[in-house]
Amino acid sequence: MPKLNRTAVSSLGVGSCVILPLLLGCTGVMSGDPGSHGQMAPGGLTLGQTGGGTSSVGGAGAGGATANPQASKPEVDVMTIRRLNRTQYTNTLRDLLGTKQDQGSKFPPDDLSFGFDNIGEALSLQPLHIELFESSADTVLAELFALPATDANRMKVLGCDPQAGGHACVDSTVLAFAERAFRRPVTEAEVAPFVALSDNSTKAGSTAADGLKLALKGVLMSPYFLYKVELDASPTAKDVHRLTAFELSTRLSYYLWSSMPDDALYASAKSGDLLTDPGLTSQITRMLAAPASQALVTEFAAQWLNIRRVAAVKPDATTYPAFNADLATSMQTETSMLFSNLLGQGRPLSELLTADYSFVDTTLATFYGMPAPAGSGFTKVPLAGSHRTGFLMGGSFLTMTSNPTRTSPVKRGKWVLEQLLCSPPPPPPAGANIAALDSGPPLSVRAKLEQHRAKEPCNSCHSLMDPIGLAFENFDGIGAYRTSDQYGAIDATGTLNTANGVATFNGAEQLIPILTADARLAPCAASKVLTYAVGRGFSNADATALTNVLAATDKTGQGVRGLIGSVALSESFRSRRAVGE
Amino acid sequence: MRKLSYGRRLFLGGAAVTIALPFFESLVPREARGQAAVVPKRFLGFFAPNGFDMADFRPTSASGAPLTLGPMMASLEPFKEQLLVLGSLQNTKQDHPLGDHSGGIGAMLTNRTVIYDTEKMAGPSIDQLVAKQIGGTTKYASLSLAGEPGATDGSCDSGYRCSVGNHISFDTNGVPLPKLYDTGQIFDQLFQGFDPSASQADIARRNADRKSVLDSVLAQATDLKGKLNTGDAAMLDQYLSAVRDVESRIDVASNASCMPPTKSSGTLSDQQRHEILNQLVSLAFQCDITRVASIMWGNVTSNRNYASIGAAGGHHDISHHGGNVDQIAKLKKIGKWEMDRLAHLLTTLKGLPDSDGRTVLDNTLIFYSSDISDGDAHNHDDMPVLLAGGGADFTMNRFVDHPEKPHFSDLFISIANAFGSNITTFGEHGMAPLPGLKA
Repeated sequence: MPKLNRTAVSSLGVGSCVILPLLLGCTGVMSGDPGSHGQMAPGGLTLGQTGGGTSSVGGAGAGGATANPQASKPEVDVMTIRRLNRTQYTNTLRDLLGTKQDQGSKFPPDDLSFGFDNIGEALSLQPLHIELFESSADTVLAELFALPATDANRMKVLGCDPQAGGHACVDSTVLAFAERAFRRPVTEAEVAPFVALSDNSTKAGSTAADGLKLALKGVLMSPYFLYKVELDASPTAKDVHRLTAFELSTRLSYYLWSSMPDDALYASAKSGDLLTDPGLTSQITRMLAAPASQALVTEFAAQWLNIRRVAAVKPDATTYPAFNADLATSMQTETSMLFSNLLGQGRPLSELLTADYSFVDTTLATFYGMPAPAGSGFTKVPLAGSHRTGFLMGGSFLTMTSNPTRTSPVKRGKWVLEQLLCSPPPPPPAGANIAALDSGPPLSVRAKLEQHRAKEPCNSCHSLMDPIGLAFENFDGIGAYRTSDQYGAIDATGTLNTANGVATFNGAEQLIPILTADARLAPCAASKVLTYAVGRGFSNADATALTNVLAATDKTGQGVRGLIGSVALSESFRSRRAVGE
Repeated sequence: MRKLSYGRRLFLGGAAVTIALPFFESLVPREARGQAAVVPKRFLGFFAPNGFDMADFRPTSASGAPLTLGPMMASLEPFKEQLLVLGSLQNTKQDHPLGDHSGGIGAMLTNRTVIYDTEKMAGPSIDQLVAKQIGGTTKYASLSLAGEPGATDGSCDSGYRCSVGNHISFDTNGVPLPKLYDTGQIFDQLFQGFDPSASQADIARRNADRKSVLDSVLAQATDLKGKLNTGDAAMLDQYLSAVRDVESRIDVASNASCMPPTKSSGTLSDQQRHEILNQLVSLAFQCDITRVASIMWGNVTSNRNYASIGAAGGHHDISHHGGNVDQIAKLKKIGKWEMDRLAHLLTTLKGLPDSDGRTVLDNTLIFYSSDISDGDAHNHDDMPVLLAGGGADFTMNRFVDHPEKPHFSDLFISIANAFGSNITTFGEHGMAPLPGLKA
């Protein structure tokens, strides 16, 4: 029987895609070739290449992604100017003015691209945004001006009294505010139009304070505030060049903190220190140790690991009466704290899957059938004896990959392939008559999937997804452990073709080492970090960028923390270009 | 001045709002406000996800004959005189075999192919074209509302970007219009700036201030744009267009003719949410805050759990019924529920007097459809399409089948013409108005 082959579309790549609708994408064997993201190479693919040696990032097999020289985009590629997204807008107002208001939550959700809400191309701007920026500026400036004159936040912005100090006070205030808001030095000429707003307003009879407020509002409406502006020698210049120190400090602070540079970072930009390797390294270290780096958990990890989705799923109340908003929140917090620990402690990436510990509060511990921790907060606990290991056996993953009334091993398998191995299976071929799993005679999910993938065109792709998902069948649709369901004892055995031959496993615990040995795990994680950091899609087509980041990461010996830092030190992050190659 | 008295209370959610009817203490005749006495027409595009059970959706009357409604539309019986169901229309989709949902959503009001790996559509949606025609003098050119919050993570569908696969309204450049979901926020957007204590001088002052601020940044942005590469300059163009658009409407905002309703609290069931959206859009129309709106009841592959009506499970999953009778039964229930909510919208619009002495429904055209027809076949032909309201001069109270399988675009040309735009082409397939809309 001839092997059918199709070039599937890469969901992370840009450019044209070739699709031959009559051919299928999977040849029944999974690949460890990290150059084949989304593409099924001819001759079959195998799951996992066990490499030699250890890696601080991903354990065996992850030491150095194998670059695919045929598919390498330049390390520094064109990306689209990025407007501040909602979260960044809220955080920036907080850091500029001290406001605790969440103005960003008033905005429509930013569109996701490549799985993240901070990708330039997707951050469009419509009249509604302008109106919301206006009203937000009005609100936070009114709040600022209403603070007592001795308030520290107020004094940071309003260093003099415009009533008493007149034009000179307005001038110096606007200049200083614009420098902070634009995240770079500004000239008198640049702020003159804003100062004029104040002058004209007071001439027309407004108070000095209201005049100044108007000028500051102008600053907050400026494209230099709302967008992270980066320039080239000319709009058509062909060279790759390093960012300016201020452009770099902006990229760095929004990457690590989802907010504007603080005074120390800005100073290192102003002195030029930030443009040096040691200077940049020391800022990265400082910033990763700061509480604001929690943004990497709430923004990066939350989106990469789809933690937010847990709040959006609606398990059926009759089937899963134990599920409620509190439990969902606890599940999310568990995953957030796990990632935070990996980052903070410099743990290997593989520990995301292999962690023999987790973080639980009473709600979650009770749900897991573990002893409740003391107190009302979260505690780090060993997972020994709980049937659970790592992120994939925690409530977040298990719940958000389920259907309202049952587990979905297909979704679970697909998630692992997509989000951890950057190898999404091609979607079902057109015309494939997919009978609903919920229809037909009552059989276990496993049995039904076996029927579904019994023949082509289903088998070749589903034989990659289903076994992975079925390994988790001991966890129901909200992640509760079970040894049987209404159809009988749970069978969580499976088989996968890997680079080292056929791997068999019984349950998720035995699947984990197969996944951590997969050579795609580290490059995939690196591509996610790069995408989030730079604001354009990275995939295995960016082999050079990935190779360099992973090599640098291995040298740090600091696992996830090393990966985050290595991305910031990479050329992909520190340089730009006006036009593509 | 007329006093309207209803006495129903509506619940909005999120930040949580109740609209107390009567909405308005007064409805000042248009002439008294110095505006022309021509009553505005309104357009609403409504998206329901995952298709319908077409057997129940389709009227049982013959093509061209007066409507006999199918079981799904039983609650629309009182509105037959202003209902037109079209059969056998098709729409474009996406450029790969997969992603039928994304393809159908991006295409629903544009009749354009949704392109993989692309953040924009190749042209505008019909509601935005109509907004360009009739939306120049209202506070908002259009309003885009959502029944499900935006995708907060992940990708949208089969690799198609959320920008195109999760929006139905697109501007001239094919950039999506953002959707508002939180009903409290929608309320605020409609009625913010309303300050009954402000004097005319205050209002004039505020408007002048807004304009001067926007002018200052316009100049800066124009200067910046010249320094940017092509892609970035296009993004700045969005900023420039948006600022100019907002600036052009500043004076309009102060002419808002409505007393906003009062607020209170609650969380929302799906039914409440849908009905609040119905009421908000009806309010927005009656108050002339906007004349064009779109509502996406669900996102792409919406998996809403309609357990409360005996259709437990995910809507999208159920729509892949595979011929299973239980799944089909659930799908019929969901469709019926959706039509019941449409009946509520029509009731609401009908209950609001318009400035010409008729009702707002008489001056509104609603286009209601989905991303696909049958959830199993994922087909984009024989699409579920209905028109409601008196906003266009079509002959209603009929089912009209089109065995020649025209595209949505032909219907959109007719709609555009009805709203005063003389286009002769639209989307990828629109070459002529759809025949048979006027008997």
